[in-house]
Amino acid sequence: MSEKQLVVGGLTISYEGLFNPSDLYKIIDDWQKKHNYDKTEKESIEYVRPEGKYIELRMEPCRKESDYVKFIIKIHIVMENLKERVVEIEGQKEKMYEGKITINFEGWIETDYEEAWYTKPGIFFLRVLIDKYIYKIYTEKFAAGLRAEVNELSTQVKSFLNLYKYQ
Amino acid sequence: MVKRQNELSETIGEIKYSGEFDYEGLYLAVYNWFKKMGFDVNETYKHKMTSLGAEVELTFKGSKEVTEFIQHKIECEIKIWNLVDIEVVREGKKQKINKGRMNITLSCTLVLDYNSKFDKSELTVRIFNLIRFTILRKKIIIDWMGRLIAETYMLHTEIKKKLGMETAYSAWE
Repeated sequence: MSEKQLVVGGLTISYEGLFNPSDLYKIIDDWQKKHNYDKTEKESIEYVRPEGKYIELRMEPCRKESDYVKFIIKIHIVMENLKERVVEIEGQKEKMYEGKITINFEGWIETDYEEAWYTKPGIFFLRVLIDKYIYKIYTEKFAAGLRAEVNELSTQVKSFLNLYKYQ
Repeated sequence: MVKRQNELSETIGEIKYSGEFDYEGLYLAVYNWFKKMGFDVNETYKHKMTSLGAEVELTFKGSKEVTEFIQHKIECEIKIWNLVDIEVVREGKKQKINKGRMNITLSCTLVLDYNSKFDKSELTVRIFNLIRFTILRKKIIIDWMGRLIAETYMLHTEIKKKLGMETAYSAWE
């Protein structure tokens, strides 16, 4: 059985005001492609409600780092009460939304995702020992890499949302 | 007899939508996408009337022979509740569209040796398993399955575009 370890958790961005959901999605999707992650969109919800649009997304982009280690970034986005607004930016009229958005990021490391070490109890036990005492240095190195990437993505999203504050 | 494991399946994310949409346009978008990508399509259709509107279950099963050894299968299951006709005015013109709530599930299957050429004897099945799990294992999982998943995500984006969803975008297109 593969093992998952939470490396980055509790990283949440909340924002209320004007923004463009399509541009936000584009930033996250482009980031995934640029960093060679495989697109995984578990759930994509969009409801048109009287109080405004409701959008919810669950993404789990992943990237194989080696035959043994895989990075998974879990992104959960909830946009509520989105009301359409037309604003003028540099003389151009643009459709935007006003509402509330919450984004949660988690970074996970999955080891032995190919379940190569799961064949026999003895081999599995050996894997646990190797993981705990030998491979630990490498896992920490991988964890640092993943942490940096999740932070980069969240900073990019934060900067994108901050831009709207000054428009 | 040794078992031949010649299929790899993956469920692609679910789309849930509620609001106005063009039912006929959605149907044509999915059907035309399969045709454009070279798939043979089989459809099943169920329709039931309720006091809140129609309940529709529509399934598209597409299959495409990529090579003599590989076959791509994509299944698109659309379930719609409370489907009603509405009239809206867009750009000064009256238009008939629909309103309802739906769940769309996409899944794909990579079928290897779909002509069962390796299914003739125990020896050929063993050779197939050697190819499947040792010689071409990585190529099958990363290249071939990866290509099929990417293809299925193209349909995913196409459906989102047709529904006018805010997240109808793919950096991979």
